[in-house]
Amino acid sequence: MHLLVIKDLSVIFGGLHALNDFHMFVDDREIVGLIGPNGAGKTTVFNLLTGVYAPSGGAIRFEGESLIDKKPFQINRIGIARTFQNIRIFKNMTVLDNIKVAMQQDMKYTVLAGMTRMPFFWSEEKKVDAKARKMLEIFDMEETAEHTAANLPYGLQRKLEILRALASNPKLLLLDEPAAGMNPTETRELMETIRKIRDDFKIAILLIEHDMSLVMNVCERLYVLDYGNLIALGTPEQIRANEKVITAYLGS
Amino acid sequence: MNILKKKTGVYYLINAVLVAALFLVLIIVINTGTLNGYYTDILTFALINIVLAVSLNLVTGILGQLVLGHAGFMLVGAYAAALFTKNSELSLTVAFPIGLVLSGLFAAICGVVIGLPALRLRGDYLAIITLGFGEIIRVIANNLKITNGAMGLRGIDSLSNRNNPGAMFTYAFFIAVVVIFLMFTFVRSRHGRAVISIREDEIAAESMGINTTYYKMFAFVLAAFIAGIAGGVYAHHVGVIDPAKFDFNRSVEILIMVVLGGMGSITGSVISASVLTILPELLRDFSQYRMLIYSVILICLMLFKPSGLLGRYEISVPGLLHALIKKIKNKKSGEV
Repeated sequence: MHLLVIKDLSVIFGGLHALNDFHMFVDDREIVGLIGPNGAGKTTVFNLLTGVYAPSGGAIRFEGESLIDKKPFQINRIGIARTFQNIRIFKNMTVLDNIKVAMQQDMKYTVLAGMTRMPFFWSEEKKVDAKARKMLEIFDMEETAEHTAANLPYGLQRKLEILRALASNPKLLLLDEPAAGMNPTETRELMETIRKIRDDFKIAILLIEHDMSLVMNVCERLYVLDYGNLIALGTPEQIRANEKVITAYLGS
Repeated sequence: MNILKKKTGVYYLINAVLVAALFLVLIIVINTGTLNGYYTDILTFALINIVLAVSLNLVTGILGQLVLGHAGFMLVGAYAAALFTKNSELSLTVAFPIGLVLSGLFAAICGVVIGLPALRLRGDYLAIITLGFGEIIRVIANNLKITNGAMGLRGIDSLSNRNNPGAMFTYAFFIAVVVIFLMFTFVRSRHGRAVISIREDEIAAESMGINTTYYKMFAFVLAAFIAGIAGGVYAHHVGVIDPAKFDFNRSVEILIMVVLGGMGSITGSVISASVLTILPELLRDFSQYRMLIYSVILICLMLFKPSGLLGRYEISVPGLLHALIKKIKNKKSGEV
């Protein structure tokens, strides 16, 4: 069984068909890319997957469970975490607290126990604190733990967002343009890290990206969208040779 | 703001000792008559305002939702407590605490009723709905028989009397201390982090598994509960309440305390609530210019420090001590 299955997914905004009969699947521990020109509907797919938009039709199943009509926080708890195209970190919180917010489900103490500082408040907080610091090591960000997130340089803010998504223990990670605004060296590092995340956390990754070198190198399979329609799918080699894709990107 | 690294136990101890010392000093001055009744009253009002400002700060500063009808919750609490103690057979020392719990509960119920529709949505709906609530509840109190209409309730017994002038002050003081303590611990727990993350970015918070509706409701209802208790203390402190005391101006007054102290800073709210209660009283000698000076101070502060006195920072005596010790140590190691 596939980890994620999307069937005949459509969404209409007013008269605009932002997505038409889209279908895709993602398997466990796979890295899949979703590409297409600007406005093709890539982020719309993410928003439908995470419950931000409600689809006009179609089905989304994650581990056999339907995601339609589920709220974003429920979908996150089921096992899908995402990052955003325009970074949405919690700017006035520390780097560590950003990650701890996503680790909410790792702690069980009640409001009253927290407010009165019961012993298990301390033990659970300590455990999560250690875990959050360990997460920072993935991107060598231990030094920034106590910094206010807004003060981080752009590249680190993107990395923090990925870490925050990982901290919520997903089985599928959605990355929306993780390399946007990064220089070639950083992009190359990011490629390695994406693979490393997949191997270390044993999760599937679905990513939207414009940087073709990154997409072609990292992804095992690709889906290409244009004007809300799926125009091609296959391995990077197949996509590279696909006439429709070349037309969509370069014009005829 | 890392709570785990610092010597938290020592900090708690220092704060507890300081609070106890402050209380002892104040209660001794009050009971010996060094501080006369007038000043004791002002001090108690300041404490009630601190409780109100801190509770509003939870919603407006920490959760990031504007509330324009906080006085409405105070009204509900004031009437609930006053009606209970006036009609109960119990002695006041027993009836008063029960009345306070009731006032909190009634205000919290109002919070649930108006929060449920408003907080499921994203955006500023809460501001408008609470504005409406504040007005509606005042009109209701103006027209009901049980609240005695615009005449209001009179002869609400105060715990303070000639033999024990500091009784109301003691209540207000400990309620303020407990509320401040619980706010601090709340903000620095997983629930507090969830609430702050909603202020920072609601969409991101929700996609990180935070049930935003639940946490918004929780913070809002908790603030209503605390405001209700403050209303209950207020009613028994002044002895006479009428709906006009809890109008829109009162809500704005509390909001100003929060904005001035710094949205999201609990200590900021404490400082500005104290200053804004005591300052107008000190300016009574210049009664002609009183409101003028008051507004000039407000305008200047907003001009030169738009984020409020403390912004989002908190100050603490142990924290200051810590910084001082560090500085001295650095100096010493520098000399060697």
